[in-house]
Amino acid sequence: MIVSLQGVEKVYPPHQPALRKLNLHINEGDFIFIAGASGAGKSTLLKLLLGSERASSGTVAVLGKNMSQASEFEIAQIRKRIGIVFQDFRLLKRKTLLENVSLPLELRNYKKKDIETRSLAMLDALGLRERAYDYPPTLSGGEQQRVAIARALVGKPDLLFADEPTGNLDTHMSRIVFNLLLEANAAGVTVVVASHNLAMIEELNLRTVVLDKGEIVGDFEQPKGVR
Amino acid sequence: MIPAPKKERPNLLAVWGAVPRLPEQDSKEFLSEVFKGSFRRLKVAWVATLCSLVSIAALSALLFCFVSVLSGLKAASERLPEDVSALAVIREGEKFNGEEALKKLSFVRSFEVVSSEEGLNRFSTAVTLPSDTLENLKKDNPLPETVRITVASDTELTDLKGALGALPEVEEVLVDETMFTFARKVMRSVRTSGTILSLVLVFIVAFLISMSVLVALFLNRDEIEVAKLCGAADRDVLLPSIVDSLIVLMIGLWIGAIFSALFLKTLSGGFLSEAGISISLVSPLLFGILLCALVLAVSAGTTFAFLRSHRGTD
Repeated sequence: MIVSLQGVEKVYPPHQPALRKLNLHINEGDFIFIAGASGAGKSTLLKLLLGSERASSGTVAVLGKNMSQASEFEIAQIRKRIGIVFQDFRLLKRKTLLENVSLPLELRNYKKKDIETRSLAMLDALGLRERAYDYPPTLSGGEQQRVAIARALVGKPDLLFADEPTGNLDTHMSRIVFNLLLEANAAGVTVVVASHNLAMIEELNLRTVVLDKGEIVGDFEQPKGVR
Repeated sequence: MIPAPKKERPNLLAVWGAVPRLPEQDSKEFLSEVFKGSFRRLKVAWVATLCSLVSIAALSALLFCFVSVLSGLKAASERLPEDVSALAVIREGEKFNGEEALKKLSFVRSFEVVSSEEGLNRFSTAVTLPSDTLENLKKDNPLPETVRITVASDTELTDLKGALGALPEVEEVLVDETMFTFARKVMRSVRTSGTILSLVLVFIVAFLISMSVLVALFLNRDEIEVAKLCGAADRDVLLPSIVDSLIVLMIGLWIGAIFSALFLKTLSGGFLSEAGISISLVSPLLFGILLCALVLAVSAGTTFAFLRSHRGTD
């Protein structure tokens, strides 16, 4: 199992529970949606998986490492094997697309020439090769999200987390983004998507875990027709 | 199924399969990249760099001037004669009987009893009086017998004055507080206040460096946040900031040292040399090395503490 949560609880001070007794297992190569309304605990769950937050109780294991007990350095090492995509893209505005995409490779201390070659190949794969030296503000939302996906995938991660990746995009762009995530999954990346885009979840008909008020209220292998 | 985007592009799967596992750089190469990137980073934040540079140069120049003048003062005060003395005037017609008592006092270095006749002889030698005038002086104005006592330092003069004043034959005790004693006192207070001020300046420079690291981290917080989510360890975030700050510090210190040397050179040709204060740049250099070590320790400590309190990102 690539991700395993057992009896995970997260309580924000003073007594605000965000997740309650969560049990979830994700296998290598899975494509899984975490669905739920705003405040259901999707983002908190992703924060726990990334090691940005620590669980109040229970075990959060990602890529075989207990994130609750991992040191700062160990979390950094785990994150190098994880790609992440955000709703607001989080691209660095003062850097070119190529520099944005290169960032995870630079952190892995790869050689400059290798970094450039691979980053350009990734931008090419996402249809943005000719804009490699442009800056993010000159791009549309859909293009920026594709750059963010390129950045998440350029390091060949084992795991990809996407937090509302189509939240700021129209339907057409959302389809393109999900298509890219499916391609990444087909290439062997385990993909976890937190989303409240039920139409897209139904259309893709892949495993979906539904959260409500911090609890798992449903785990569907094929959610089509459940609604 | 979802339709593919209209624009032709290579499939991600194909790209994925084509990219080999890249060889990682060793730590040496990583450090070299950090240093190489420093110039670019400082150029981008040139306003902050310039401000830091000017303030560090000004403060360090001030500091170096202080240290140089202080070391000059120290050397000058060491050259001053150390002995201080007191003069006991004996009542007319009486003789000094406290020789044995003076010998027992540990702080008395030496003493000399000058008789009335001997005193007058010395006086006449000094002013070259004619023999008849000298004879008249001996008759009409006999000089009192005196005792000149030399002690090790100013602080013992008070004790000596008390001890001599208690003797019945002693009319008065004149403390010979020379200009040297006064100069030594002035120098001592200048050195004390200068040392305190230098220490304050050191901490101001250290504070500036720490702040510049923190400001660099604050200005780049978006980048740091993304970098940390992509797997940046503290080392990756910290090293560039520390290296940049240290480069600015070193350049600032050198500019400060050059300016202070030029300033001191001008001064040393003027009133400082007339006052017997020679300037040496050796002490400031040693002091500069100590300053660098302190600044490095403070800035690194502050930054590590800052980062530890800001673990991860949301």
